[in-house]
Amino acid sequence: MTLKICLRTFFLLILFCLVACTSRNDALIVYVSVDQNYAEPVLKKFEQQTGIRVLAVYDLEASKTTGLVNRILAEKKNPQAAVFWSGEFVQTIALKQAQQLEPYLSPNAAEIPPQFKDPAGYWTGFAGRARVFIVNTEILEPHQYPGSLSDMLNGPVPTKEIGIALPLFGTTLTQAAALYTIWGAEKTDLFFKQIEESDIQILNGNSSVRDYVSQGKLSFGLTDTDDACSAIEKGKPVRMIIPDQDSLGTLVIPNTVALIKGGPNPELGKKFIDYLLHPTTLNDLIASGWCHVPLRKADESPSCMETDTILAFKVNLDSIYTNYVRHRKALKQQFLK
Amino acid sequence: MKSVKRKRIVQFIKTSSPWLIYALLLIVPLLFLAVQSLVDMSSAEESVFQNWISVRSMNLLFDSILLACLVSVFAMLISLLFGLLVYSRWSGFIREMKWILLFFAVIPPYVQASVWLDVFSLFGWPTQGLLISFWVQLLSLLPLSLLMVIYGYQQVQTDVIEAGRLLSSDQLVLRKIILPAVKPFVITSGGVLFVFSLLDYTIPTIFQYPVYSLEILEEFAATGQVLYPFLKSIILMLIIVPVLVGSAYWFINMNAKPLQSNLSAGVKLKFSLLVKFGLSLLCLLLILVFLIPIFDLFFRSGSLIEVPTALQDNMRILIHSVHMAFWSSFAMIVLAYWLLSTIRSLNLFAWLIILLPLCVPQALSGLSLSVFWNQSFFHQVYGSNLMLILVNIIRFGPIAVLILYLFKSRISENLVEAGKVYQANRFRRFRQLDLPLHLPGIITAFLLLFILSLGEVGASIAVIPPGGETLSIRIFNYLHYGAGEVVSGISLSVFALLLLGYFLHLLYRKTKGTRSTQGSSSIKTTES
Amino acid sequence: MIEIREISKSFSNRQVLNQISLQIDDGETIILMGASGSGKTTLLRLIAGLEMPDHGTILFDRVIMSEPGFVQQAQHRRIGFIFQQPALWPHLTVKKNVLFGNKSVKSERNKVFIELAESCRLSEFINKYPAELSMGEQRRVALARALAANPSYVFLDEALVNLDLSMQHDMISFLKAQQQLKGFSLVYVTHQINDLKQIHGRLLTLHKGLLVNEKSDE
Repeated sequence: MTLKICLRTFFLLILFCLVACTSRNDALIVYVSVDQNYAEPVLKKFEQQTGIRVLAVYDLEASKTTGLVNRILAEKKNPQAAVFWSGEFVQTIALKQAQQLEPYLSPNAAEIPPQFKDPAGYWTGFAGRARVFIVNTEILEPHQYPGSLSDMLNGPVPTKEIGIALPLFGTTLTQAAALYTIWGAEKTDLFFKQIEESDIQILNGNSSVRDYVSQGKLSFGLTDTDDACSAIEKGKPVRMIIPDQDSLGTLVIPNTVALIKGGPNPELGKKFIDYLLHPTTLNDLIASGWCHVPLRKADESPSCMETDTILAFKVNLDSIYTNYVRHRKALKQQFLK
Repeated sequence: MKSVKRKRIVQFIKTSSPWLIYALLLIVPLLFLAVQSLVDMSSAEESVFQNWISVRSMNLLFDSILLACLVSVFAMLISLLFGLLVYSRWSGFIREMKWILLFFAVIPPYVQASVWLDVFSLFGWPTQGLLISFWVQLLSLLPLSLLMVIYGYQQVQTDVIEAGRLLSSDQLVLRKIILPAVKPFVITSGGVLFVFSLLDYTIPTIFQYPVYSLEILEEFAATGQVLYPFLKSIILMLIIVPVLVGSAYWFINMNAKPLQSNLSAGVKLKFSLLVKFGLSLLCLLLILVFLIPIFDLFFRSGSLIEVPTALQDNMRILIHSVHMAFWSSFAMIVLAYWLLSTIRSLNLFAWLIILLPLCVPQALSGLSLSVFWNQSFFHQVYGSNLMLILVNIIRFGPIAVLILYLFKSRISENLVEAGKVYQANRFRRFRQLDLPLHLPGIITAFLLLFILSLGEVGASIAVIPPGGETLSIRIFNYLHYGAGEVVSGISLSVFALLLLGYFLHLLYRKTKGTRSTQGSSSIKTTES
Repeated sequence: MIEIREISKSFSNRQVLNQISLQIDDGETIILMGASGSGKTTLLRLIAGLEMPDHGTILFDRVIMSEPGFVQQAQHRRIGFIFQQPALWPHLTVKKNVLFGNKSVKSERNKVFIELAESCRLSEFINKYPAELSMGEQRRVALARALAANPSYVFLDEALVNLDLSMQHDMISFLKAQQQLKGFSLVYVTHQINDLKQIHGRLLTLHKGLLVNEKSDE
């Protein structure tokens, strides 16, 4: 009796398996290094509008973009994805250097400033974020708010109340590379050495910095605009401060999108890139809270930003990448020892 | 002569096939990674070895061991008391707790994480750090410990207890007979949980508690090379291998006894006030642990009306997750059964090989699969849903072997041999004898593997196929982003399905009970 | 003296014992016979306090020990119970198994153990564990354990099955000698009629939960 039930269940499940199996041949595969809760609605909308099925792989908070990029590099001989959509640009340039990208000049990229796209079309930047301070307004008085990166070490707030994400991944590493470009090696080396030797809390990621500051465990920290904005919109007692607006400015990090060399269904990939670079998508990303620095004219404006204009680093993104490659090993040795 | 030789070759192929498949799926990817690391080592810089054992790493290791010790100690204590609660027959409701809690075990750990994050926040308790990491990890691993300790209690023979009750008070019998008999199972469960806690990075990561096993993933993410995570893993494995292999080896080699349904067949055991107090407290704690998440989810989601919407939104991912967990468990059972059919017993060395994949950190397991199956001749496999199944096999395959071996050792060799003597047709023998005899073990193993596969994240992250995101991975990612509404919707769907499953199970037991009392004409002999 | 008054017991709607009444006097020997499933073991377990009766009462020296809703703990009944399986504790040595129920002072306990060990031929196994002994040796340990607690009543529940005749004879002789010495009542449960040749006492027969026969064994 038990055996009969088992066998019948087994055959039913075989049927279930056949029903549930799907083919990927007609699908667009995208590797996404953007927070899933922001990226998913964009992908879904693309699916609805075009009827093209999208299969995505998202990165993990602990390993950031580099984890997904290493996966793309590992799949060199057998690329799985057609498009790489990243929340920053350094790793995208790394893929270009490794000859993993296919050039594509989207007609929707025309209005994007040249400094935010590759001249040969290997990648295109859009929908930027900025590196900012998130400050707990219940702990700090306005005169204690940091105004510059140097306030992290020399400001009125004790260093043990300050947080930064581990500068080995993601936008924190990108900012480190940008500082090497702007400040030079000596000043930047000293800066990070002092950070590492001080009591500044080195956390797992930008979201950790956001959470610690929101909960009052830290007075302020360095994070991205999307993390800061999400805390503001949830009613946390925090405020966003854009550093160095009266001097060098802050790093603006564009999202980047690129076609992966040898990936399946490249034509679908190009359609997706066009969609991503369309002004409507930009407005959607601003409205959702992912983008705060549009890089081009947009109908929406970010609700959590106190100003429309941000003074950005005047720096070539390729040179930031060069410094990223040059200095990341030293940073790793410094922070992972 | 030739035909004898041919028969020997055929026999050898039959016997070694399951071992080769086991090796290919579980051991070879790890060896491949090790070999690649050795190759990388030859061209590595000196600084690699300087940073291999660093102050930061040792601090992380210490923090990880601290968490693991806390989880294992509390799990042992709770399991010990819970087993006593259930098997001393306090009341029907208490016995029902066993089923409720085992159903509760199906909840993926990340659903637990999302719920308790809310609860801790509500009470103003720290939502990051050691305390919450410990609590959620304890709840997620506790069912494993409970199962092992319950098995231990079932091994204590009632006549041995009754022999003691005739000569001593129940309190003394508890202290000198029951607890010593259960102690080895409790200690083994502690060892197993210690290892599982040490290997897990996903739950501590959610709560910002830095652990050593996360370092392994970060090493690969930062460098793109396998050497660094491999070197980091060695230190962890030096601790894990003796604990896990020692625990498992002891567990499987103790003499199997008939399983008892409770500690006292007749008059209930009477305990001291202190013991009763402890058991009452445990009962209350377990009820709260069960009820709080339900209230939190319904409260957070708004109302019961949200349930169908939540189910609809997440149906695809739910089906996919159940699908993957089902086929993973099925594949593991088939492989384990096939493997064990070729041998009578295994020595320590054999067990070391079989259990080795269990000792490997999650991130490294995932990495090894990603590196191995990404070769040109495996193109069809890499990037497909098969990768998720392979991940579950490499992570939990040894558990399948362990459980089936345990149940197999309880089957009298005479029964099996009688089958061979009287039933020459192999398929009929399998269908009429072997399968029914092994069914309890198969069902137990399947359920446990299903639960474990459903909650797997740590290794899956490295090999998720496009569009192949599982429930646990989704919740894990969204928890990091702080997207509570999405998580609560998914969690609600899971809870609703589990409650439905539990009520169906209750109904089945009730109808089974009714059928046996109405229709049975054979008298169940309990006494001579 | 044990008085059993109209005891009834059911398991899962099956009546195992039905209105059983009997008396066990001090120093008496009773042989309880019956086919498998007749209720012999259930009766012993009820008397020992391991089961609760559905109806009736059990009195020890006119004190109520068991009735529906109440059971005085087994340890207070001074019963030495030797089960069908030896039921020795695997983690205790032979000596510890035997002396488990003996509450005397240490010197007295040692004396008791030495006597019993000699009588039951256990002297060479003192520090061994049950798993190291044969079935016959384990049964001797179980017997010694039952007697070490200085019981007023000794129950043997088919405890000598599967032993060779010589061993059975030795153990019964030993029990009878101990009974003479210590004056305990003996209840011997069996379904083998051959056992009557060695044990003499009042014969009770159980059939389908009813006491159908009571006579002297002659």
